[in-house]
Amino acid sequence: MKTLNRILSSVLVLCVVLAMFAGFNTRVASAEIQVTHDYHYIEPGDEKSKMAIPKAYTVRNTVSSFKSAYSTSFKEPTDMFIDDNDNIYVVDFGAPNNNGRVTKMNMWGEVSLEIVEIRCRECAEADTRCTHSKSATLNKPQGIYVMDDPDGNREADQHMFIADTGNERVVHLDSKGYWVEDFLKPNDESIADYPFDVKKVYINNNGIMYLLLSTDFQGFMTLNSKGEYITNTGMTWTTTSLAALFKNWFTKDNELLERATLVAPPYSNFMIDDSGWIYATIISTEENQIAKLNTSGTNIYPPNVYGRNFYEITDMTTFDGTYYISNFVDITVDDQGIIYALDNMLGNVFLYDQEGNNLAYFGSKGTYRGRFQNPIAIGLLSDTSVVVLDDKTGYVTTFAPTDFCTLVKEGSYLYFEAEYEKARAVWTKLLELDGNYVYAHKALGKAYFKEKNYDMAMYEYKLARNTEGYSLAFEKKKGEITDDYFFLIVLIIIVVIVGVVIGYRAVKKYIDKLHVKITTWGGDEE
Amino acid sequence: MNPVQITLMTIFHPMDGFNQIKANRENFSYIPTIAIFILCLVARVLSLYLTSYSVSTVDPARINVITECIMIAVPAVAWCVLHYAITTISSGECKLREVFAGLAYAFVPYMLCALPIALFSHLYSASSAATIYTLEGIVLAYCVFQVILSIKTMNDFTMKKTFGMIVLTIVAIALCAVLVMLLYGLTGQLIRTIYQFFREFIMIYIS
Repeated sequence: MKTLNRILSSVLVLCVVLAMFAGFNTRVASAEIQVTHDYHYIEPGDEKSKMAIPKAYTVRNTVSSFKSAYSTSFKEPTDMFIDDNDNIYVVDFGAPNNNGRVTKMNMWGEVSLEIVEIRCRECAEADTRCTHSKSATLNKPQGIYVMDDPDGNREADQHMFIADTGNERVVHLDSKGYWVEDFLKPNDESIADYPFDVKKVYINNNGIMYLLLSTDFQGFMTLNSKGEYITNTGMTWTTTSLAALFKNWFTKDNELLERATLVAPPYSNFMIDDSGWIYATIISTEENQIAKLNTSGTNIYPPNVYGRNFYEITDMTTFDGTYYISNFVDITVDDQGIIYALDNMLGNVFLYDQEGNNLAYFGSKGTYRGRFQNPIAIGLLSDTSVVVLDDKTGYVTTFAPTDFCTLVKEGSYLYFEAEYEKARAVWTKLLELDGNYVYAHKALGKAYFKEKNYDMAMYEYKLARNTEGYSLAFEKKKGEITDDYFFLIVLIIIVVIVGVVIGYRAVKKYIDKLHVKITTWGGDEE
Repeated sequence: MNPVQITLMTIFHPMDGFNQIKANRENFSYIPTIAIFILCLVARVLSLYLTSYSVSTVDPARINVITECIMIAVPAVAWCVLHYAITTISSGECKLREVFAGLAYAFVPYMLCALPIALFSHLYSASSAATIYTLEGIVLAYCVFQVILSIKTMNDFTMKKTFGMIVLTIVAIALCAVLVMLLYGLTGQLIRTIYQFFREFIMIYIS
C-alpha cells in the first residue's frame, strides 16, 4: 500500500509539473488559440450536418483603445460602418455623460474624427450654442450610414447619417462633423400612431432613405430626400401552427384578447448593396432568418434554416439542456455576392452564397484574442477582411481571409456568374486544400455537365451529395445510351417480357394442377 | 407438399396456401420458414445498398446492417408473440410457430420483388422516383393483405374478428414498447445508483 501511494503521489507531482510547463508554453507562444479548422454546414437529405474545413479567417488586428479627448475605449458601441476608404465609423454611448459619440478611425485604431456635439458650421465658428438642430447632443444613437460622394471617393464630400434613437431623429452631418439637417418624424397620418425611434438607417443609390424602427414591426420605412414619408416596405410574415389553432379554439374570446397578439418576426439589421438589393436579418424566428429583398419588398432568398439551432445537453444524468437559436444581429455583402451574417448567440460569422449555401463559419464566444463577448456589428474592408465590433468589450477585431477562404469566394463568384470553365480552375486548386468541400464538387459537376462529360459530372455530383444535379446528368447519359443502342434495348425488353409471361404461365399451370389436387382430395383434416 | 410448393401456392392461391401450413402440422418443416424470414432481411438490406443513388432515401455509407435487421426482426417477433397471446384467449387455432410461419409466408412477395425493384430503380432519376416508391408501396400493401388473409384462414376468423385481432395486437405492441422503455429507464437509474453507492463506499472507506 505504501509503495502504491508513493508511486501515485510521484505521478501526481509529475502531472502538476508537466501542466505548469504546458501552461507556461502556451502563454509565451501566442494569445490567440490556434484552431486549424472552421466548419461549414451541408445538407444531405433533411438533416443538417457539420463538416470541418481548413481555417477560413485569422485575426489580423484588435483595437482595444485609442486616442480620445473623452474616453479611450468604446462603451456600449451599437453600430459600425466602413466606407470605401476603409474608415471605420463607430457609434457608441460613450463619454461624456452617457450621450452618444461617433468615432472615425482606421483599421489600426488611429482616430481622425470624433463627434460629440452637434453644431452647424456657423455656430461652431462663432462658438455659440446651436439652436438649429433639435438637440445639441446625441441620445442613445443606434445606427450610422456614411454616403460616399457618387462622383468620386473624395473624403471631403462624405455625409454621415446617424440614427439618433433617443431624440427620435436622423441627423445628417457633413464630413467634418458639422450639422446639416435633421430628419424628424414625417407629418403623415398613416404613421401618426407610431413612435419614430429610428434604429438603423441606410440610403440606396436613388437617394431613398430606408429606416428600421425599433418598435415597429412594419418592415422598413422609406423617406425621400426631403424627408417626406413614401411607404413601408418588406413586411415579414407571421406563422402559426396547428397546435396554436387548436389552443385558440378552446380559449374564450376575452382571454384571446388579453393574450399577446401574434406579431411577425422583426428585422434586426439590414444593408443595401450597390444595385439596390436589401439584405436583412430577422430575429426571434428559427428559420428564414436572412432575407434578400428587392425594391418592392419581396424576399427572394431561398427559405431555409440559417445559422445554428441546436439542443445541447448540459447534464448527462437528467438530460437537461439548453436550446440555442441563432440570433442574427448584423449582415453585410461583398462585391462577389457573399453574405456575411453575424450570429450574436454563439458569436459566429456565417458566410452564405446567393443560393443560401453555408460556405463557412468562424469565430466563437470567449475571452481570447479573436473571440467575442457579445458581437454587435460586422463590416468589410476593401480587401475583404471582416471587421467585427464587440458590444461588451468594445473591441474592434479585424479578420484576414486565408488562401482557402479567398479561393472559396472566388470560385463561388465565378460559379454564379456562370463562368464554369474559369471556376473549375479555382475549385480544382481548392480541392487540393480540402478534398471534401461539397460546393467545389458541385461546381466541378456543373463544369463537366456543360462539357457533356456526363460520367464525370455524375461522379462529382455524387461527391457533392447533390441528387438534383446527379439526376440531370443521369437523364442525359440515359438519353445517349438509348440513342446508341435503341434496337438492342427494345429487344431486351421484349425478351424479358416474353420470358416473364411464359415463366408465370408455366408456374401457374403447375400450381393450378396442384391446387385442384388438394381441394378435390381434401388435404385438410377438417 | 414441399416448402417450394407451399410458397408458390401462397402466391397464386393464398387461402389454400396458408391452409397447407396447418393441414399437415405434424410434419411441417420450419427450416424453410426461417429461411424465408432471413431472406426477407437479406432482400431488405441488399435493396438499400443496390437502389440507385438518385432514388435512394438513405446514404449507403451510413447504413448499419445490424440496426436494419433489428428494426425488422424486433417488430416481427413482437407481432408473433403478442398476436399468438391474443388469439389463443379468443378461440384462435394457431400455435406460436404457425403464426410465425404465416407471417413469413405472407412476406414472400416482398422477398421476391425487393431486389428486382432495386435494380429497376437504376433506370430512374430523382424526378421520376415516385414510380419506384409506388411499386414498393404496392408490394408492401400486398404483403399486409396477405398477413390479414393468413390470420383469417389459419384461425377460421370472420373478417370483422380478424381486424379486431389486428387492432388489439397493435395496441398490445404499443403498450409493450412503453413498458420496455420504462424498464430501460428504471434499470438505468438503478444501475447508476448502485454504481455511485460503490464509488462512494470506495471513496470513504478504502482510499
